[in-house]
Amino acid sequence: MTKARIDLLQGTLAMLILKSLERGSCHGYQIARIIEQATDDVLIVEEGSLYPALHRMQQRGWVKARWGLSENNRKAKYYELTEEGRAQLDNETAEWERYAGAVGRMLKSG
Amino acid sequence: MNLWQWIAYRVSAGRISREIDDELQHHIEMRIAEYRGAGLSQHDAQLKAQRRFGDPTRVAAACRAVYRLPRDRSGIMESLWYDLKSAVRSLMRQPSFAVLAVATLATGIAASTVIFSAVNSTILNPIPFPGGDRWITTLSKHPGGSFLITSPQAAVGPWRERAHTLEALATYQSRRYLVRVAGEPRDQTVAAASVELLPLLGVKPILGRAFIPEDTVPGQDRVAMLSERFWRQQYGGDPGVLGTSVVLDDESYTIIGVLPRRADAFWVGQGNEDRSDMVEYGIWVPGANMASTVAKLKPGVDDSTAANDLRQVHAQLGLDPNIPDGWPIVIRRPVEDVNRDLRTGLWVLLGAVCFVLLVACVNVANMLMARGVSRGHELAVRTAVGAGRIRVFRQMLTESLLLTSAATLLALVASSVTIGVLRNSLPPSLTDLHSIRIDSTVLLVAAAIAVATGMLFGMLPAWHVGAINLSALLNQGHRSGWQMSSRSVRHGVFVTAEVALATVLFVGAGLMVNSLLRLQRHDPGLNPTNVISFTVDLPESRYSDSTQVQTFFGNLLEGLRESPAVVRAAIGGVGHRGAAQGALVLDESPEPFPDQSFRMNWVSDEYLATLGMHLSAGREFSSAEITPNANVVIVDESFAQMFWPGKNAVGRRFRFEESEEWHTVVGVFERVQLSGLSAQRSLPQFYEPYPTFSFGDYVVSVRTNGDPEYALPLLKGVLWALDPDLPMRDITVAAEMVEEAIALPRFNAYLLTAFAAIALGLAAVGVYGVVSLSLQHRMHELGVRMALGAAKRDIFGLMLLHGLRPVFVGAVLGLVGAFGLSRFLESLLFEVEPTDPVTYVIVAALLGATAFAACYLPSLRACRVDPVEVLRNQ
Repeated sequence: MTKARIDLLQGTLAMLILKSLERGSCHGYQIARIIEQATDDVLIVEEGSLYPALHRMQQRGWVKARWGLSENNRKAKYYELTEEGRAQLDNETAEWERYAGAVGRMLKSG
Repeated sequence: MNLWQWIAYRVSAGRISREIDDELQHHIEMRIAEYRGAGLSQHDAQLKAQRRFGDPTRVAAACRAVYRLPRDRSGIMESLWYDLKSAVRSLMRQPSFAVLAVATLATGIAASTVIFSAVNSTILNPIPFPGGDRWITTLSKHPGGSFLITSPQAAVGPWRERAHTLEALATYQSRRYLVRVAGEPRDQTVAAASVELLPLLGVKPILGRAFIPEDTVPGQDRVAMLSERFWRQQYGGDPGVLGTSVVLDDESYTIIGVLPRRADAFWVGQGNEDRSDMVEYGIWVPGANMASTVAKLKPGVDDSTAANDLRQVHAQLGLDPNIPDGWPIVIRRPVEDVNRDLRTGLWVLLGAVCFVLLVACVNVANMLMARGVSRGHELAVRTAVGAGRIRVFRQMLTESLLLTSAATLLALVASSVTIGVLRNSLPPSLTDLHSIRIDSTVLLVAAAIAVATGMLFGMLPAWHVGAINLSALLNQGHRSGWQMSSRSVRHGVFVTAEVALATVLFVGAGLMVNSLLRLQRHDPGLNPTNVISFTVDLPESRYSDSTQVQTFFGNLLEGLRESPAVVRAAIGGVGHRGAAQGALVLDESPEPFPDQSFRMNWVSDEYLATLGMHLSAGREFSSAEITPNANVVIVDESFAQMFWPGKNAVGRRFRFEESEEWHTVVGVFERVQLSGLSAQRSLPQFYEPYPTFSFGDYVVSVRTNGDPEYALPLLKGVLWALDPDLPMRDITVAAEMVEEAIALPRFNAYLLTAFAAIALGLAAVGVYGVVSLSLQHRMHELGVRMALGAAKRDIFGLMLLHGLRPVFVGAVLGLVGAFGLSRFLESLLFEVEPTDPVTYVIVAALLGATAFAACYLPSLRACRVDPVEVLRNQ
């Protein structure tokens, strides 16, 4: 039961990260800000989960990384989607919509 | 993640870790900038950002964990990695120990690898061909007399077809041709081989084709193959050589193939001719019936069965109706003859290097144990803070393995360098050693012994950790009492063993050196000063009958003797040229003596005088006796002693049992013994006037009245005045031959001395180490003794005695051991008994002096112990 919850959370976080990278490459802080701003600070990304998740996704080949110069003129690690990552995002989005739709229908019923 | 990813991560672990830290740091900086933008002070912004982020160390650890192996596998890899790192660190803390241990082991491993490789390639496996152990050569007794000669060529065909004990039979011969290479004429030894020889050797050409039966058909194009060495040297390894021609004695031969280097070994294996230059036999030509035979027995056939078989084939065919039984066939094993001189010496050296390896291992064991003692404290602390026994074991094991692998690597380099140096610096007469190669099996075995030693003695201290009283040890601090008396006894045992082994080696080396000194003073039985010999081949085309041969040599000797540079000249080289075997019948006793082997030579008048040999009775041949039917011989003293003990042999007659020809002894000479060693096992000799038996080539010896090298052009002038087309070959200076004769004993003596010196050096290091160590541990005790009034002299004596006691025991054991073992040296020793007391005394004295020196320094340090300092420090 516990395991299932973690998977869900991790899966959700990964989906949000993939989504935020859809428009171009970002470094970790930008990803966190995009998620926060897009959800009006409803979802707060925990850094303690964000970075391990990014490295895991990099190992799985969903994102790739390169070092670039950030807006404060400092070396930063930029992530971008790979083809695999894009496919994963489509999958997860479809899956999420199915799930959310089902939960929504259940809550509206009755 | 698989193993490779893990290794990749391990290799780049540092970089990944830095990058993660950098990335996280960047995030925090961005967050601070965000809060600053929202109006917070720098301090508050920093505080808020850090609180928001949490513990960066934990986040970084979580990121790094992504790259690790799953727990089951990473556990082993990680801890191996850790063991290796801490082993390196721990060895680096005492670099002198690490260097000494590695150097010691490497010496032992390298020495045994080199010598065993030599043994392997010269004794154990001298014929590097498949089935080489089934090779035989067939010889026959000459029907008219007692000579062993090559088997009759008419027999070869029937043998090959009918003998059912033979798997293959080939004939070969070396021939000399004038070869024109790049326009220059040179006298070249050419290998003539029957078509069967290469298949018998199992050798295939590396280029082109091998000989086929059609190649030997008269009228066909003449063909030749090249040896790889010759091909590379003379043609630069050009594959275009096929189809070109080489001119041998004005005949053109088409080159059809190149033979691999291995094929050269055949001529070495046959114990043939001069092997120093393998450009000799650089050209192979096909032949049908050649003088020498080599046959490969079918598996499981022994020599006498084969001899009977061959004899029967003879009988069936009636090859020689005059001798109903066929010629007596003698089967020889080429392997037995190969490297006979080297054998005993190499076995002894092999024994010696095993001792060196043992001493090296004992020494390293000693060092490891000593180190274990001084690390007792460290190990105890490790155990106390929770390192399991297994963990400590594993660490010690890793350290030992690290040491021994480094030593093995070093030994590999050292032994290949040594073999290279040996090959280039050996005297030419030891050519068999020039072909030695590193034997990988030996290297592995030696390394395995070293690893076993390292593991065993490296881990013993870890074993002891469990047995000691931890709190007592920690309370006592460094001057721990835990290396109890049993421990110092064990160190004593190590030193005793080392010293004993070194003593045995030292006695062996002493005996060999002693013997070498005597060999160098030995009278060779001839006066080699200004004597030079050369060989003249008379081509059958121009010198077909014996009168022509005799006239030629008569003229040659006359011409030489008239030359102003020449004192004397004669036919006959140094030593013997042929062999004879048979039962001798004497005039006075009709009963034949038992079958006996002899050495022979064919010489002219003035031979003994030319070589400066000593005549002990009678006279040498007169010029009138140099005729085919003179039936006179001169014999050496051992011949005379064997058949006419205590009587004058001159004027007596003998014949061989199967011959009716009587030989009259006209003189007795002192045998030539170039090396005192070979004299001990040499056979009785008799010399006949030279034309009695024609060999086609003759050795001429000349005593010149100055440096023979300068007289050489004059000698050549005399020869070429008689016949300008005769090459003068095998020009030999007798003084060099005498020098060469002790090359092997010198080689053995030097090498054995080197090994003994290494062993002694290692033993000295061992003694020094043990005394130093015991000083370290007895500091407190010595301080107390001094405080209580012991004089410096007493302390010095105490320490010295402590160090010398195991040395004394070891030396006594070693001397006793040497007494037992040195009889294996007997055949290598000249005029020195294996139990020569002088050698033993000298060795004991040298050993004592070395041991004293090794104990002296640490004992002296013991006297300088300051009791106040020591007692205050406790």
